[in-house]
Amino acid sequence: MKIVYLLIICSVSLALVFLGVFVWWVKSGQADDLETPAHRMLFEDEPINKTQ
Amino acid sequence: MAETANPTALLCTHCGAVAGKNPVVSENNTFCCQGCLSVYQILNSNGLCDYYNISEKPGVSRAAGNNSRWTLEELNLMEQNFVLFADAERTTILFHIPSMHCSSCIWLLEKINNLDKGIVGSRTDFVNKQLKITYNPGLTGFGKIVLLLSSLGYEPSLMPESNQDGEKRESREILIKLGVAGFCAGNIMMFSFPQYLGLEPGTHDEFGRLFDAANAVLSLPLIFYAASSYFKAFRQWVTMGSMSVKVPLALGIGALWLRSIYEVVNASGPGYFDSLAGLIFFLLIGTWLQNRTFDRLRFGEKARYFFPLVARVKKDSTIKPVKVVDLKTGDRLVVRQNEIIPVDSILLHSDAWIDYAYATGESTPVHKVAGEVLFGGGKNKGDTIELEAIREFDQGKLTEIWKSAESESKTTAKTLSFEAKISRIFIWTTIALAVSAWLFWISQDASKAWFALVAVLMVACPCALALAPPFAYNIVSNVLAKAGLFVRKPEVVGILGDANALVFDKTGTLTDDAAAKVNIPESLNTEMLDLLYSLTSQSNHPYSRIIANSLENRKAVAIADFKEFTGKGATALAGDKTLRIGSYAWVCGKQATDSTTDKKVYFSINNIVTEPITVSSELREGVVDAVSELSAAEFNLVLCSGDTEVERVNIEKRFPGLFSSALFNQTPADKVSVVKMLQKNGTVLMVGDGLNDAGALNAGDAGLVITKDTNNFTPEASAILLADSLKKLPVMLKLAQKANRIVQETFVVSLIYNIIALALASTGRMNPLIAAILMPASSIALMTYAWARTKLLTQKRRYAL
Repeated sequence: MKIVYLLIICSVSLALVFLGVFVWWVKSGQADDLETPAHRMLFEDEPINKTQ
Repeated sequence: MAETANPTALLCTHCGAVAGKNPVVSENNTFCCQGCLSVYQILNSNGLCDYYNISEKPGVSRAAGNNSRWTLEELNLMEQNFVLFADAERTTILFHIPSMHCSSCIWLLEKINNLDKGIVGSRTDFVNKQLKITYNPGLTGFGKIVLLLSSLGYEPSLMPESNQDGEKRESREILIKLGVAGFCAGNIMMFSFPQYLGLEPGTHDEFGRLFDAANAVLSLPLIFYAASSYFKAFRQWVTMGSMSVKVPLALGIGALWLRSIYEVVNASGPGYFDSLAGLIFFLLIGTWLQNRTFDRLRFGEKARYFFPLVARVKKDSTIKPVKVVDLKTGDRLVVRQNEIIPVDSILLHSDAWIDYAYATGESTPVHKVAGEVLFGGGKNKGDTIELEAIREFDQGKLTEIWKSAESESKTTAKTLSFEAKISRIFIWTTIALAVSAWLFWISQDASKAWFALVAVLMVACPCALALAPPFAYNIVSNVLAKAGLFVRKPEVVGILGDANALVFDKTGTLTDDAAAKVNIPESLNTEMLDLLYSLTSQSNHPYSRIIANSLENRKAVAIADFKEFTGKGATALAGDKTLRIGSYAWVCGKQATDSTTDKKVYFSINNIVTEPITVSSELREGVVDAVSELSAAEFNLVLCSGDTEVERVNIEKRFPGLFSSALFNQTPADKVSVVKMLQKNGTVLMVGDGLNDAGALNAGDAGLVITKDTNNFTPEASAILLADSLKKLPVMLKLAQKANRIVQETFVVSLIYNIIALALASTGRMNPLIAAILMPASSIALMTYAWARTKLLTQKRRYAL
């Protein structure tokens, strides 16, 4: 049953990594605007037709 | 060919408006006006026509013309209000763009660098309608960018934005707290698993102690970080006596945590960390949801932003823009038509027509002659005028009025809402019960005493009271916002639902000055009408324009020698006839003896005066229906108008018996006392248009401002109603009442639960473990109930908005 110690360390540190990623995500401002990127990703990089 | 067959069906390629009788045709595209065409041409020559492929007819109509009244120099003076960051090579500015509305807007605004090479890049925030532009100050300038945006139909709002950094930090912090709480809750539940499965290893067992210890460690960030706001509220209560629902929550959380730590330390049990973590997690989800919903409308603006930020000062015959805060007494100001007078000043020469609707509620411009004092805040309705400032900006009369209105709003104790009253009683009852249960048992059985104390505080945590109203009100306020009613706080929905009396202002609230109505007497024959049309179409006076617009399909007669006398009227020659139009005094050549000549336009041909033409401001669309519906719903409706008694007949005719009383000649102070009188009999909702009734809006339990532009609002407003949505007001109020009903229902259910649970807990018959499970379970059940009921309610056809 000693393996439980290792498992606890593994699982908690994995969860801590996820928490860290979450905190980074929020702090880098990616959670500030959840609407505009949803539109932006649908735009073509290059204009479809240069002249109408 | 089809184009000529049915010209009215043609839609403008740019903005999608009906192109009308005189479409502007270019290549194969039709435009409603020259402005739309020019935007199209700018985009076309820069290869940006994809704009038209992303959304249908995405443009903003330019038919109203380019209303950027500022010159490049003036605009550049305003720059510092908008700068987020600046160095030698790049400057970042933040704009609020009210007309941003679709994907095409995002696309174009983020490609704005194709139109000005000095712009490095731009980013939009669609929800907040913001545009952040980074540019190279060496290559372009602030003013140039504003003019470019205006030329495309995306005129930025030139009122400085409230500082949003604080809000942003707060919303980030709550997300991180939520993440930490989720992390702790998940792991605590994992360590509690053996306990859930009944595989209790025994508290003296090696693993049992390990799991308990791990839970205790995991609870530290939960208490000291994630739940810190509750303890902050607790501290505030202790130090400043401000009671809130967070206080017993803090007591419960604190007691539960201390009890759990105690159990773990002396190995008497596993503690209740799992319930604690779940509770905090759910509470934070509630707060986060609440915050997200209200990002839609920001109320940071202050009334002083109604003033223009830059005034034109004349010095040695050159006109220079000067910031209003830098204005000195004695400065000569030039104020153009439709601009606001920045400071109290003396009119230097010529006559002026000033609109003081802001302060007096009277829509008709006031006539002023040279030498008279004009108060800051008035709007110049006539020709360009020259003034001499007699006070500095900060001492402007209106600023003082607004300042006092603001401080008053802080000291006025508003009546507590229903749930605030209930939860206040509840909080004290719970604390008292917990302490008395403890006192009762402590002499008999010490362990049972602690047991009861914790169980009572736990089981009775008034989460249902704290969470059900925000859920119900949030959903309803979201629905209302979509329909055009924006509330400052979700609790305002509760006040709207409680309202039994509505006080209406007239000017700008019931009436729409932009759509005034003209009554041309039938005694005027065709020839007279032609002459009237010819004369009025030459004039720029608002009444003339209204009259000319109302006379369609008239033959224009050639007129000569047209002269306009500001404040009096206009005259011209048509063949051998002398035409005059204007006020009674000007046309009839004698002073008015009574007030029946007010608001009437007199017209004469060769000194023969015709029956007067009445120009009355038109009621807003749907306002009669809305008022009669409100009256049918047994609301006490009162009209308070700054207008003269002359209007009474009009009101009686249009709203027969709908208002329980209609009061005229009301000063802003009178309006406040009317609202206060009505408040003795219930909750009063003041409906107004902004500044002229700011005091009354503040005095009412809720102040509702009707506006056409969400950017123009007063600090006193607790809700903003878009003018187009006025007809939906009765349904909105009904919906708010229903939301209140739902909240009350959840209170009743929660009260029954609490009475039973408290009875069991205080008599020591409830295991704190069960209490800890019951409490979040009950609040989640009630939350879900409130949510589902409100969701269903808003989808009912009866409440369709």
